[in-house]
Order: sequence, then structure tokens, then C-alpha cells
Amino acid sequence: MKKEDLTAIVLSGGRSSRMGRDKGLMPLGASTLAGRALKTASQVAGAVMLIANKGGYEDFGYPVYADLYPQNGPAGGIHSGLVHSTTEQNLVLACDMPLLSVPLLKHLSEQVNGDHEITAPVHLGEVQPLCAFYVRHLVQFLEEFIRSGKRRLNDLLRERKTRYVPIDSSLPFYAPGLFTNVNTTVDLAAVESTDAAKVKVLFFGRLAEITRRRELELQLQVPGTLDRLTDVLAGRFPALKNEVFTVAINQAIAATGASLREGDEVALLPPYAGG
Amino acid sequence: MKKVLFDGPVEPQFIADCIAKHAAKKDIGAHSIFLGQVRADTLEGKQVRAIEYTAYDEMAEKQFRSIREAAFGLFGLSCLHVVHSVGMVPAGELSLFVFASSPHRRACVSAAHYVVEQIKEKVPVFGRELLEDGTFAWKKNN
Repeated sequence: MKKEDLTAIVLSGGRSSRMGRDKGLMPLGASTLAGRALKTASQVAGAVMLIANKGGYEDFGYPVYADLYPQNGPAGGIHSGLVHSTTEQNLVLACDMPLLSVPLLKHLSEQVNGDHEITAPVHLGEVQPLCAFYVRHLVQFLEEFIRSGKRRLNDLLRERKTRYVPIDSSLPFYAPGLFTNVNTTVDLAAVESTDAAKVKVLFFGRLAEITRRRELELQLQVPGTLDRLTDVLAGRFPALKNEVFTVAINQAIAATGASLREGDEVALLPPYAGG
Repeated sequence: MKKVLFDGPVEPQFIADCIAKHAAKKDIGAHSIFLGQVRADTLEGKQVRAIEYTAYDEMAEKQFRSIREAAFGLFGLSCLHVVHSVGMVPAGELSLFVFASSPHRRACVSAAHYVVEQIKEKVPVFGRELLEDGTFAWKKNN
């Protein structure tokens, strides 16, 4: 499937009752849950839209639509998305599954064909309708579905021509946490910590005086770069911005743009005074 | 290889003992010794009483090892010893000892010079100058 033939419908219209705040706007690393979903979506789909029922989504730079049939859960969101779509195939993505990956989506898109109306992954026996492809002509059926009081997406999938794609460890991109769903701030913290590289930062000389620390452990959003780390440090210790220092990674002077990995030791070195 | 970083000033007796030990090495024809001494500079009207050295230990030792390897590769050396102080070294006392030995004079003189310049450039050692009024100022190599 060509990118321009696909629209991504990112759902962020839920009530977020367990999170307390609008889930889609919860921070995740340097972005938000919705931001992450949109970034992933834009890598596979030519057109991207957001379904949201509250404000705060305008700044992402994508069209935002509300549920035409509010209070009907994700079914209402999918319906609204299909109404506004201009392509046959549509990838529906929930914003609360931050570990969905581009290789997974590309694999799924390769399984889509003209014989099926819905193509959905199955992982550990569970169907994932919120990371699935829906044809636009389902909009009519969906409207009737909602109006008849139905909301369960698995029912929708059972009533139409659905292809189920097994996702398991035989696939090269597989990770057990792909479909991890975030519902609470505890879930979010758990995802952030698996998603980050823990690095140890060492301060020497004048820098240790300024930061009042000799060492610090930081979780850096993956993929982490040295520039990102220095931004984070300058944010936390603004006085560092006026200091001159070189950086060593694992005891070797680092090149600009170097990337960081879990367990790396980063040292901030002021001018030497040896000899 | 022995560790280069040593706590406290380098004692003159240590240097004398090092020279004496090399009497046994019959292929040596020349030694070149460099000694770094803490100078009593005057900073903003205040005299430097001592320098307190700190280091990124693991990286410093790694750098010393690689400078040593480079020196042996570049010059025909028989022997090379380096000691650098960490901790407080009072003005007038020694903070660096470089001892290079070779069969002929040119190699050890060039090697000692090379090693000192490399140390200043590559080894993560930091220094705070303790001034006569009890305050500190961070030192930079030039």
C-alpha cells in the first residue's frame, strides 16, 4: 500500500477517567501521548487526522475532528474519522498505545487486501481493533451499528469481513510490549522507564561546584543523543550554559552528535590543569 | 602498568630512588627528567599557597597509558615513568614527575618533552588554586 493511499485516524477522544486529565495530552518523554501517535502515524500514512472531543489538539498541525456521535467510545471516533477521510484505506490508531512501532504498522499494511474490510492484529489471543485498518465504506455500517446501541469493536469486527493478523515473536520487529496500553499515570511512568536509556553523568572541577553534584543518573528518551543530554542538563542547571567543557562518553572524548545508550557514562570535563 | 596518579606531592627522595634503581639497566645512556613544581603565582593580589588536584581517575589512567604507548612507539626509549599528584600540593613542591631513559640522549629528551605536552593536553586532571586568604580559584592550562 502506498503512503498516499492511506489515512491515519488517531483517536484521542476518550474520557480519560482513570488518568484524571486528558490522556492524549499527557507528557511522554519530550512529547505527549498524542504527539507520539501522530509522529508514528505520519511515517506510514499520507494523510493524518486527530479525533478529539476536547481542546488542546490544535497545535499539532493536523485536522482535528470531534465525534459525530459523542459518548460512543472508539466506535464513534472511528465513524467520525471515516466520514472525514478521502482514502479507501484507513489506519485507526489509539493514542494510548505508545509502543506501537512503524515496522509493525508496515507489516500490517502489507496484509491489507481487497478481500477484507478490516485488517486487525491479534497478539497473545487478544484482538487489537485500535491498531487496525478500516475501509471507508464501513462508515454507513458503523453509523447503524452505533445508532442501534452497539459499541463493542470486537462485535463490529465479527460482523464484517475481517482479516486477523497474528503478531508474535516470529516477526523480526516483535516486542512483547508493542500493544501496551496506558490508562493511568503509573502505566505511563512504566512505559517511560522502558523507553529511556539510563545514563550516568559525572561532573568535575568547577562544574561539580556549580551543580553541587559529582554524579547524576538520568533517564534519557530513546534514541538519546549527546545534544539532547546537554539540553536536559542545561535545563536543570542553567549556570552550565555559561561554562566551557568537553564531554567524554565511556572515558573517550565524544564526537558531536554522538548517540547515547543504556548504561553509558558521560563526563563533563572543564579545562584541564594537569602537568 | 603501575598507576600514575599519586596522592600528595612527589617527594625528592622518590626521584633519587628512581634514578638509583636504573643503575642496574646497562643499556641506558641517558635520562631526561621533567619535574613540575607548584609556582606561587599571584592572582588578583593574592598569592597561591597550594594547588588541589582532582582527576577523572579511570580516564586519566587510560590517557596516561596511551601517551606512554605512543612515546614508546615514537622514540627509542628503554624506560618511562610518570607520576602525577592528586590532592593538595603546596607551592614549591612537586606535582609531576616524568622520567624517560634511552640508550642515546636525543630520544629521552624528545620523549620527556612529548609526554609533558601530551599530559597537559589530554589528561583529565583539574586544579584549584588555594589562595592566601583561604579562597579557591580554578586553574586552566595554557
